[in-house]
Amino acid sequence: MSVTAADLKKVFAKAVPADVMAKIDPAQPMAAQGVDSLAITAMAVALQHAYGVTVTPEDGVRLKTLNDVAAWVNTVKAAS
Amino acid sequence: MGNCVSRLFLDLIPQWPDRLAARCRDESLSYAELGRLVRGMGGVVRSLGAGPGSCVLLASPDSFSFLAGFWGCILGGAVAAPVNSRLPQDDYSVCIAEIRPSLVVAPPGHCALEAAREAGVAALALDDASLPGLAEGAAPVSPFPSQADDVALLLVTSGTTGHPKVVPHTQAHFFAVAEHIGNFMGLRADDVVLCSAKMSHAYGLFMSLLLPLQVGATVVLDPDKPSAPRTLELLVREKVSVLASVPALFGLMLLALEDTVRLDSLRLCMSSGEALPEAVHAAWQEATGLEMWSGYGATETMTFVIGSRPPETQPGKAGRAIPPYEAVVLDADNRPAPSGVPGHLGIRGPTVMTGYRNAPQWTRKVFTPDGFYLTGDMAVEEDGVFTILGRMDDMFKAGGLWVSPVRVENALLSHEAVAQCAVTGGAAAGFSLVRAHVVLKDGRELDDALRAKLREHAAARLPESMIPTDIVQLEALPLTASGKVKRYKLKHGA
Repeated sequence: MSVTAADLKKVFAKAVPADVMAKIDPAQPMAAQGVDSLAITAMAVALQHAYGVTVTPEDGVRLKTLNDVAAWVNTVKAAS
Repeated sequence: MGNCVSRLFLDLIPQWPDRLAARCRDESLSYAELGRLVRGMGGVVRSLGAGPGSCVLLASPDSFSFLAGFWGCILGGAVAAPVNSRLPQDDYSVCIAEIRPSLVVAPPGHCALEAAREAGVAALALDDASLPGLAEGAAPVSPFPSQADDVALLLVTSGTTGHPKVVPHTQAHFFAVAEHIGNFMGLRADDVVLCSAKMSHAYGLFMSLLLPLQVGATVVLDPDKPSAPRTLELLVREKVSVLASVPALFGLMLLALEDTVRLDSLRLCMSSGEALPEAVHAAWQEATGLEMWSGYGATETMTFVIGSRPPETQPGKAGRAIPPYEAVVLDADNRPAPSGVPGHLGIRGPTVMTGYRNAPQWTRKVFTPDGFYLTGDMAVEEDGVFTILGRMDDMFKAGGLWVSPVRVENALLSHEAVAQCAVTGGAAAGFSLVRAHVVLKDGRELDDALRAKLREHAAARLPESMIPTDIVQLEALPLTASGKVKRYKLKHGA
């Protein structure tokens, strides 16, 4: 079953403050919508816990939107 | 030599009285106006009992009040001690006990003022709204005839345990930074400079307050916590030409950057504070067409001592010693290590502190008999180019700021579920983070709810930069024969 942006919002519930997460448009850059570096590291840690996937520094500068992250998780999971 | 405020700032103003010295929240300040405010604040500070030999703790955010308050103190002969404006009140109490200021300056309602009152120290509520009235009402102070060795600045840094160490820098150090790092950076009168590191840190202090003002450039100040969207907005709106920041913010700006935004005014991008990941270096260059500069320094050296400029900058490497600084990699006996062999990085040069204030036991540990300051960083040198490899101790940085592991550990250990705890640095998605390894009481399991509770517990007791992002459960902590936690093993084995 593929991961959606809505699934990720649940996975990231503890990583990103609720008021920030509630307003996030999954098609727009997260860092432009109140997500800071603390939240990004917490999101990467949450992805590791939830799906066993590791976000590399290269992924870290490329995955801008919640939709980008969902598509990336699905690609990585399909390849493993 | 004279007072550094006069020589490096006030005496130069007749060359460019009407140029903009600073911009903050859409307000502008000309050099002539800033000069008047500095002279006035010198009088205000003096009238509140802070004169030659005494010390002023400045907890103002980056703002016109900081510029005028900081230079005003030094102009009148007092010592300026800037501290992070976003600390919990207890941290200010500790700083006040350590520094013993005669005056604490902070915005109205700031908890540093409350800490001052509790300690019986004079407090001045100052913000940009009250600054002009205060400064104009005071008798301007004439520049105190300072000597080269007079202490002008105290910077606060912390060790593994989190107890503050106070680093004095002298009048002569200001002149040396202005000359040597001025030459290295090559700022121009038409530059607009933005440094995301705050002026309470050495990096922000020389980049925002010293270097731009001695060439007639404009500094852009952001009083708030640095954020990627606002920094990008400032870069465009203020037509910033020189951006100095840390890897975490460069990475975040890349994530926030929209394809339509052009950062055309930028000519120089400096990364310091932590090693810049190669991926961020490459992506930033692609986004802006600019190669990155890099700088390495410490609170104890006041400024960059190693650095590199395009086209010499190599991702992951710090660069060469900046003349006249000497950098050397030392072996366990403090002898120079051969090229290519890792060792302890030592620095000698005109702005290296002579020792921590009132702490000869710490000072002894960080100097070699030849007078090299031991940075605590492991490094390797090849063809004169230095690469920083990591720490010799348990200190680490997250988001460009120092984290004291013992302090984070104590915060978590005060929670009823935690039996043992060890804190290390880590990284995720190219960003540095704080990772706590915990052993829980009574066979409890670490689930998401408890993880969140532990983070909240830590957040109530620590500066934001030290809150653990990742918390992992262990059955037991790995210990050395003498019972010390092997943090190195946790960092690399987890």
